[in-house]
Amino acid sequence: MGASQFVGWHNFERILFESDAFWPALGHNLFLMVVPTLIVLPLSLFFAVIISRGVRGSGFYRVCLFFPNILGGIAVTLLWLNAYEPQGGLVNGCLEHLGFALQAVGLTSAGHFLIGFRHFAWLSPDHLYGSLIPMSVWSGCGFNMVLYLAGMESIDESYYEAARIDGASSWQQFRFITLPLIWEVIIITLVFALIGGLKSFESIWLLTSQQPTTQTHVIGTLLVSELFQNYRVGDATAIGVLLFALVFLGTLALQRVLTQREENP
Amino acid sequence: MSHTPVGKSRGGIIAFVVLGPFLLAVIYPMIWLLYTSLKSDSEIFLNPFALPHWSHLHFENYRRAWVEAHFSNYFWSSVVVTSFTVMFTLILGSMAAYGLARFRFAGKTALQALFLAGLMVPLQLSVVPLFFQMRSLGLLNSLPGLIIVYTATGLPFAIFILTAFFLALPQSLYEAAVLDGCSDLRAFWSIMLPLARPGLITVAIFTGLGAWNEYFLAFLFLSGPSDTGLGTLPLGLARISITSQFRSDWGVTFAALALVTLPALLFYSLLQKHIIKGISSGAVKG
Repeated sequence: MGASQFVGWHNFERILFESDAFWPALGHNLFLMVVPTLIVLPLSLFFAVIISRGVRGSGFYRVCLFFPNILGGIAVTLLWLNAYEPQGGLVNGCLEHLGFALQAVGLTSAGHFLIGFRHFAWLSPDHLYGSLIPMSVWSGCGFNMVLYLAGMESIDESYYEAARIDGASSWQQFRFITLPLIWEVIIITLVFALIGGLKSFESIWLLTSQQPTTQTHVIGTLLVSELFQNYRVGDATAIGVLLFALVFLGTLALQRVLTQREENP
Repeated sequence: MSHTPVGKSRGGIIAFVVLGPFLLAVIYPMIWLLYTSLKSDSEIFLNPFALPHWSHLHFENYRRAWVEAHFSNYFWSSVVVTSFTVMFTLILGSMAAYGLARFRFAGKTALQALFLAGLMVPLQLSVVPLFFQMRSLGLLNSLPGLIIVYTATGLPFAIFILTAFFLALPQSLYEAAVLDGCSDLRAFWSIMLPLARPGLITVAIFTGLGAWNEYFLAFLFLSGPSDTGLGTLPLGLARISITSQFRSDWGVTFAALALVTLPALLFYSLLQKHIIKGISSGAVKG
């Protein structure tokens, strides 16, 4: 390293005000924290509600939908990398087949639209973040659903019986019994999803072939490429500290919201 | 079947209609992956959906992934790293958790807070200093180095879970053991540890899964010359599909992915009850 020299806020100034990569990267993290979460959590809750009443095969659904979590982030990302391949990939192939099927039953324009995806480059910088949404739905729903189901199963059945006697509709039962009683579990999944979005690294790193650009970086990939590709240790450390500050403030804010909720439910 | 209440069977139909397509979307890509791994590149490219010809199953994709793409190295490295990580995490984690749960000593609260902080602070914050520390200790590009890091990052979770387990065991059990002449170590090993078995299994499963699938740290600390085949499975998988000469070699890529998926599938089908239960109880107890 040689002798080090104290540079004051210089590294932070460079990252925050001079680098053109930091703010877009933070924006991408925010996107990953908010958009997939808004889709995955309600969808998982919906799935959990549907199979919570002991329908036949509910265990099967649970076990199968959870499997992507066992597979791990790398295998899932690489599976999707191959599925998103413009030619010979699973996604475009499916859309094309579906398009032809729609045309065959007379829905010409809808079919034409789907066939238009024939050579669509899902992972080009313009479309990368949109393409991450189906991926997170695919791999994330099972995990959240299992947590919600666990919450729902711990609710005493007599609450529902009493509500039914009082003539509560299924929506009212959900809104006034299920939802409040699994609220803690929902908060836990929300925290997981937000932290996951803030810490994302692998998916971006691999789907951009380990060469993200300003257009595609997240904080995590920015840190690693500053350290290993540009050898700017000061910048990498500054990014790490900023990330820590964000997580710390986020956790603090969340805790505040949560304790407030507990005080006046 | 006639005994099924109407509401229940209707619920089953709704579940099937809504969840069926999603279930298919989750399962089919994995089946696709498994049978595509037996096709040649041109077969994959011309018709990605078709099943391979039964007379021309390309098992050599697996042989090439295993031998030429160093997949055997990656696989055994992962086995070694995962088993040592689980072993060290269980030994150190259970002893630390037992100490924290059973004894009072100066600095206990601070120690507990420190372990909890390990659970909260994101890994990405610590990687830069950790990298230089590992370099000066000469632990870069070595499996023992990675095992040390995995154990260290896995310990807070293990201690968190196991402390709760040991706290739930009655104090009187320990007192009875000591009255009968057990040493502290003996009481821990022969009485407390067997009773905390469910907790140990949960910790082993999640620590093991974490180490088996971990990429970020492996990428940072085993980033040496890639052609030697030094690395764990996730690292090797990423090298095969993205950086190496196998990049456009679909047969090998799919075979490698299948080689990762199959053990995971086997492991999961054996332990799915434990895993789902572990996740579920964690969520409900908060």
